[in-house]
Amino acid sequence: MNMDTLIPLIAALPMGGFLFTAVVGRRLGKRAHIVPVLAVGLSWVIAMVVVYTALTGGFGEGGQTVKLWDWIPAGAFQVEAAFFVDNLTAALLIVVTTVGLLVHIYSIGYMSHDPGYWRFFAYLNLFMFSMLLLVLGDSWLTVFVAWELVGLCSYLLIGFWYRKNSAALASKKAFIVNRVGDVGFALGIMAIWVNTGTLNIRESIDVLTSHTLVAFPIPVGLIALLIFAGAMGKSAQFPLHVWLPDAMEGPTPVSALIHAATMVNAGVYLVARANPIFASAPEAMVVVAGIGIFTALLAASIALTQTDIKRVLAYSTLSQLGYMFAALGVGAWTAAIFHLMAQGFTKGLLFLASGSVIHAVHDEQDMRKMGGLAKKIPHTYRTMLIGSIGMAGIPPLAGFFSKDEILGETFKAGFYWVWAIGVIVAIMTAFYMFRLIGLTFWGESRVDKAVEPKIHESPRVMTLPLWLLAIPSLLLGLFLAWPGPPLGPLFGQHGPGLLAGWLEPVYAHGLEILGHHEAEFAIFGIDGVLILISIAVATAGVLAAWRLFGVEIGGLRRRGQPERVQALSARVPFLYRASLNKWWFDELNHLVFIVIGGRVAAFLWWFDANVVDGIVNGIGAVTRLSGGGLARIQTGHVQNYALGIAIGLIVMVASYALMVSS
Amino acid sequence: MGLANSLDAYLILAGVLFAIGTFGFLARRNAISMLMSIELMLNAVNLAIVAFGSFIPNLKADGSIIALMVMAVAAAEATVGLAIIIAIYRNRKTPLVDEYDAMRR
Amino acid sequence: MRGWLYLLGAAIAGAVVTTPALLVFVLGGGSVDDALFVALGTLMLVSALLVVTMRDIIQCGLAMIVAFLALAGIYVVVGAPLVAAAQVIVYIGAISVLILFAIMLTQSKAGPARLVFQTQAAPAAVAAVILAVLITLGVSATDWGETAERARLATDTLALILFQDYVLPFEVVSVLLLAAVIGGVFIAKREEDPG
Repeated sequence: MNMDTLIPLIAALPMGGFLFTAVVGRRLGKRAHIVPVLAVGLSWVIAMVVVYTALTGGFGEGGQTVKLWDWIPAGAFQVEAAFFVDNLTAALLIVVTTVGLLVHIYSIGYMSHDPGYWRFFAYLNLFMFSMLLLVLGDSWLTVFVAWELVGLCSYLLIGFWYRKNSAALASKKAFIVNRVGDVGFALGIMAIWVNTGTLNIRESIDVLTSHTLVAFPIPVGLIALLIFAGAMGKSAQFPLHVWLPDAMEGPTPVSALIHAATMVNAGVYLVARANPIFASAPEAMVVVAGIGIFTALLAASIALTQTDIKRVLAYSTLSQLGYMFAALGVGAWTAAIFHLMAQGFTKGLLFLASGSVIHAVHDEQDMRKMGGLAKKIPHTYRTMLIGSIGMAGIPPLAGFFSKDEILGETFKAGFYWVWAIGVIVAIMTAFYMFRLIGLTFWGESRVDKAVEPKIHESPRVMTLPLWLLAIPSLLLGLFLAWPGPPLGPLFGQHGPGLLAGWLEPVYAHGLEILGHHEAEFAIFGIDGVLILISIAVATAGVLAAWRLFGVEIGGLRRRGQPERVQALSARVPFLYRASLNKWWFDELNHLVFIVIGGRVAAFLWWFDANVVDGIVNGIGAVTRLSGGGLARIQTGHVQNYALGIAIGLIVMVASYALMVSS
Repeated sequence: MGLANSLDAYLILAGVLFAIGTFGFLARRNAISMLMSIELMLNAVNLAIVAFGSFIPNLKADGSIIALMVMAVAAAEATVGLAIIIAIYRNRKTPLVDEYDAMRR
Repeated sequence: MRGWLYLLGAAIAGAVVTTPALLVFVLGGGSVDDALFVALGTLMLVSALLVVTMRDIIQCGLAMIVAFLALAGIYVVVGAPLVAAAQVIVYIGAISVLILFAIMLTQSKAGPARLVFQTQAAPAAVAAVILAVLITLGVSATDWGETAERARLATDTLALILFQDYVLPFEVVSVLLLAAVIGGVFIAKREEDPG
């Protein structure tokens, strides 16, 4: 068993699971989960082996390519079907396979009452295959195919309960908005081919970043922006963010897997993979950072007032994705991937826990009808609390390390405005996370009286993944960011942390182009100040939330003050309403595309039916009429024909006479 | 005036007769009138040929002989044409040409 | 009573014909030949016009006979007496009779039709006039290389040439006439009832 067989197996196993379940799953009933879970489990094991080999330097600086076959051998257009693994792939593999496996296990419990049980697992396996193909793909075309497949799975899974009208609409919305971004991505790929003649990722990046003197037919900055457009669609950045909150119509495991941990991170992965291209185009990077941090601010502002528990988490995901893109935009690629990994586990945990909460209160998602659940669902409560602390950015959880690194890097790179907005967003994040906890778990129970006696903790098969996810949420930060011994030398790294060391060869090229230098981690210099600011800011947010929504941790008790909340919201009515209505973006889209676009389309339809068809029919009519008119010469009377002959004769003779005489 | 000795006079006479025949052929309704007009046209041509034969030295005898041939052919043509007109009359019961419109569109 | 009208008509016709001839003869200082030419030409054209414009078709036929006669006269003036004789024998003696018989066979009981001319008579007239003008212009503009005097051909010379040099066309024409006669008879034959 060497790497050449193992690496393709990572993706092939879920594919096999999908095919098997799709064909025979219906007849397996309650046992339909066995093969898919096994497939993903095996895939996880193999992935860990591959990851270990990669991170301990087993693949060398350049990573490992496993070629399967020549996919498109068309003369100048050559594309191979191949897999490529380097340290960045390894980092993504960790998140994707682990969260994927845990979500599969969780779904055994969550979806146990659903008639479409087998269908769910089939789709989940298909999704795993697509996502793994995306991170393992060797050429832009493979990534694009996987990109689209992931979008398809998202559509299938969001609209899983297809009989529900809102779910069907939400899945369509997700797919269409994704497509808008995909157009940009496809154009970017075409532009890459025009510029470099190859679609292999590494080769094309080498070509694009090496010719700094020779001008390319298509500017590299434009390619970067096009790739970012694709990332915007998939990772729901403004203005293509509108699909993610509606995607919460899907089952909670779907939200956890796709919309928190993996698919939405595909955009981040894409930009990180293309980092030398972005590094060659500083203007594009500014755009990325700007859109990223704006999305973060926008989403956080909306999350402050949402009442659906999953929506809060959805906007939180949007906000954190914005952070990641802001980091990518300022050149802090390691920080972005760190945040990706931390968020993958933390958000996955939070979503699964919220699913557990929803399960406990019998499918009630409105937080105003929850409260006081801490004692009744202890496992869910504790794991969710851990996740929220991590999200708020309190050390020593993973969320703190990654968020702080992003903020620190933006400050040190000179993007002060990004840093400032990031700090504001951090306050808001801490605030709304603990608002969520307060409304859901603390205070008096506002649960529907009929449901209250039936509240119970989720079965073990659901709480086990919660605890398993809580572990990385707690420890991943320490693990990846600890600069020195004893972990560093264990992996042969020195310097600013484990992850940085792993990802250094991936980003070396990009950093070189940017001219950045990894400064020494100065705990007693600027870095220390920034860390203190981060902690202070997070604590402020948490305390504000506690003040308004109460707290019941250990001996700390405080009541929530809903009147205070009302009064505060009444003081900023416009902002409150704007936040509650998602800043009216859906209405804006509806107006522009459906209403105005509808009118334009109606005009074009009128034009086509009347003008174009009119011309075509007119030509036919003209032909017919002229034919009919000319046919009147055929009178059937010989004398008319004879007159014609006479006239012809006269004309001929006369013209000849004229010609001769002139 | 020397009219009898000018070739142009005979030719112009023939031309005018030919034109009259053309008019009759194109304008009369009765089929037999059309045939009579044809005969006029043929006669005009005959006159022209005879005039040429008389005035052009090379055509001394040929003019008359050709005129005789034309006359014979005209006779044959009149025969067959009239037979056809009689046959059509039997079928259509009218000698008027503009009522023969079976070939009309 | 009717007889007087005919005589009057004949007198007018004669006047019409002879006046220009006399004019030519007396005023123009022409020879007898010229006067004859003018008289016969006028007669021929007038009767041709009557052929194409008269309502009663039998009267058209009679006018045609007059035209043929005049033409025969002109042939004599030109100097082709044999042709003149053939004209009288063939055209007046055979073709005109044939035409009159055909008129007789195709007479409808209702009498002459209401309309003499077709709807396209006007354009036809215009075309005819233009044709005449074109021919006149063409003829007068061309140098035919003619002799100054008309030559008169002796009949025996003509006969010799006809039966020596042109014997083939002569024979072919006779075959043609035979075919025409047979064809004419066949076409005009009444359909016989079987049995």
